[in-house]
Amino acid sequence: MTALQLAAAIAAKKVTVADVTAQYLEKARASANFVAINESALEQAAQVQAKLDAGEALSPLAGVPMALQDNIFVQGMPCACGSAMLEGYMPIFDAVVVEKLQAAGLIVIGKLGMNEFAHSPQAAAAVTAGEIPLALATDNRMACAEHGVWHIKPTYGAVSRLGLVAQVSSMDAIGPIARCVEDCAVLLEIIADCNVAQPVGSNENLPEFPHALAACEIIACAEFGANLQKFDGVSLGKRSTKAENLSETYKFSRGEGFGLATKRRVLFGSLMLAGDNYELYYTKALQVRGQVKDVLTSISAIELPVDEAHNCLANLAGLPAIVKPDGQQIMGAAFTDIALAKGVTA
Amino acid sequence: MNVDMKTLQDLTMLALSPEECAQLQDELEAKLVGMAELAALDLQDAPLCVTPLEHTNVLRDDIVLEHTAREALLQHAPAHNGEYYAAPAIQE
Repeated sequence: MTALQLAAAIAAKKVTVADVTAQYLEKARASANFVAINESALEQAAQVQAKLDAGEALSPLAGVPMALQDNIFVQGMPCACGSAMLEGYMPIFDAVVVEKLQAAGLIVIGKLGMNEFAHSPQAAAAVTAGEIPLALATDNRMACAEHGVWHIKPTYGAVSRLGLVAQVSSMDAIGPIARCVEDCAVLLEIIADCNVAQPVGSNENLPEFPHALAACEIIACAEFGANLQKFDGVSLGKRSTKAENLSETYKFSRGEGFGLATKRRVLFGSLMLAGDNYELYYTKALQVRGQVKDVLTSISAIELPVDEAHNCLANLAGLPAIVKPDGQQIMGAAFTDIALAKGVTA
Repeated sequence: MNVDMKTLQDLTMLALSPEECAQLQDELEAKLVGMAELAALDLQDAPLCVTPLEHTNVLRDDIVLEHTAREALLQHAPAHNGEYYAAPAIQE
């Protein structure tokens, strides 16, 4: 059953929000993909049911349980981003997307695991396995293509990042994962801050961008390293007990708190910004980004494989990309996300 | 191309074990070789693109709102004295 079908069954009073929520809570508790459970989910389900019973129109997905990648803030639930550095961290406010989900009557039942400050194979796996009908995750194209589920990497800026742990500030984008594209499209309309349904034009050919991947990696790591500076063992993050002075506190806390993959990205980002490298690599990466963006501005809709070489194009230019279960993605013009998704099913 | 790992660890405030340091030095030096083509590009005055979209500031009404409580912010600190973050002294 799709999320929209589930919502329709709830609206038709064939099932209650509480029953559906309890069913998915049970699955989540038994799943290794979940790292946290929302213990208030049944209470929230009762509130949503009361609104529906009172005739309140919430959204086409009202009453449907869903889960979030563990880098999105939910007040009262831990948010560790898969990192020992943030173990036990409890957000003090809800992300904007969470506020929108609540207003639309969706029930967040838990958080899905992720690689440290990176992608969430667990989110793709949980949706594939039917452990949850819907999930939200930051650009999760590789994992979703591997698991054969739908995912929309939305236009940059179309979905609020307030309450998302920043990783790559000029590329981060929260998008839906589901077992059908219609569920993804409806969920994106709920969480988007602007019109993402502009029409698309005709397909076009894509030129080669031989330096796009290198440029994307440089920019992403530079921003990643800068964003992770705040995890220093003083104001945020776990503090090392081995340090004897302030400098060691920073270094040892970060050294113990971050995994190898995170250290690699932080070091590479810093290397690209250091001394002469700034002009030699970072500036050129930004110039390549400008060239890529200029060319892609005229692209309407194009089908590409899901791989690093092609994923980087939508990241550099901030364009939407619809991942299909067959491992392909449709990349389109900015803010045509919904039209692109509908076009896939046409 | 040689990567100065000591300087890099200082810049990133990141302590590495000897094994991590050796492994990451090899990887970073290999990465630099892979970036040589991009570094050799003659892009002259091509404009820089730092963000894919033109940003427009969204301003809220200029009214006083509740601010985040000090206790709420301090709860994330590894150590505090109830008023400020606590850190090892940097001078006697």
